[in-house]
Amino acid sequence: MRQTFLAATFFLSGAALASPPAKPHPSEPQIAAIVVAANAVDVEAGELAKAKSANPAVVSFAQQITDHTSVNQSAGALVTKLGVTPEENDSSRGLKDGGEKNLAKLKGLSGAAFDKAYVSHEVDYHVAVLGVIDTVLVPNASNAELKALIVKVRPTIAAHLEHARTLDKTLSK
Amino acid sequence: VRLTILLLVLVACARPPPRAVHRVAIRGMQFVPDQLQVVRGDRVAWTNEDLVPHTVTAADQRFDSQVITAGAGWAWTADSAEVVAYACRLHPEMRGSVTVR
Repeated sequence: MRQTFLAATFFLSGAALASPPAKPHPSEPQIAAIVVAANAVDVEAGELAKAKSANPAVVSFAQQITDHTSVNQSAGALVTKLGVTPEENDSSRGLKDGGEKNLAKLKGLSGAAFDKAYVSHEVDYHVAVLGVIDTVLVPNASNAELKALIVKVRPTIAAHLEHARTLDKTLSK
Repeated sequence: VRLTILLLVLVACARPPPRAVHRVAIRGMQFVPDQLQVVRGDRVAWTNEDLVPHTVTAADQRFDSQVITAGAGWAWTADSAEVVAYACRLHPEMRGSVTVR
């Protein structure tokens, strides 16, 4: 779980160690790749949960992957319009690596242990993504439309986090 | 002229008052406004301004919009006086209510 958080905050930690420059400045193509990766990772985890979980509340939560699909459609349409080609970078690769490690771990679990691990990771993951949105993506998106898209997506991520937290508490009982 | 005015007044009195349409935006994962007061016969029209799909689903299942995609909308006519609680089936934290008088 922590790997994802660390990966997602790569830019921040990297920036804290390096001087100068003091702050990371991902380019527009890099921001686009981070957005796509952040959505794709959660879609994969959600697909696995829909296939493996027998808990209706967990399966219902996993249905939120339709949100990520919608967001990526909007993001895809925008980058096409802007003529931006997403460019992989340490942050987008970090998200993907963290996502793959999570999937590998989840595939080895079943039943209540799977549900708990999946939902608990979802809490951490959404906290990390909100951090990336607030500290990396929004401050560095110079294109107004790209910035507006990210700002518009934020409440969805925040709602997923609240849903995950509520579910995590019920699973802990 | 007097007859015409009298007729117009009679016609106006005979017609039921026009139904109001109340608009609710689904924006930023919230129903805006989340609480609404309407009169029986009024219509409530929800518009999804988010990028992600939502539903408008009554807590007692009396109505369900099914999935409202980004930019689309759905409307319901308030037919009886009561408080109708609703939520988004896809995002259960999103709740609202319509008080019908």
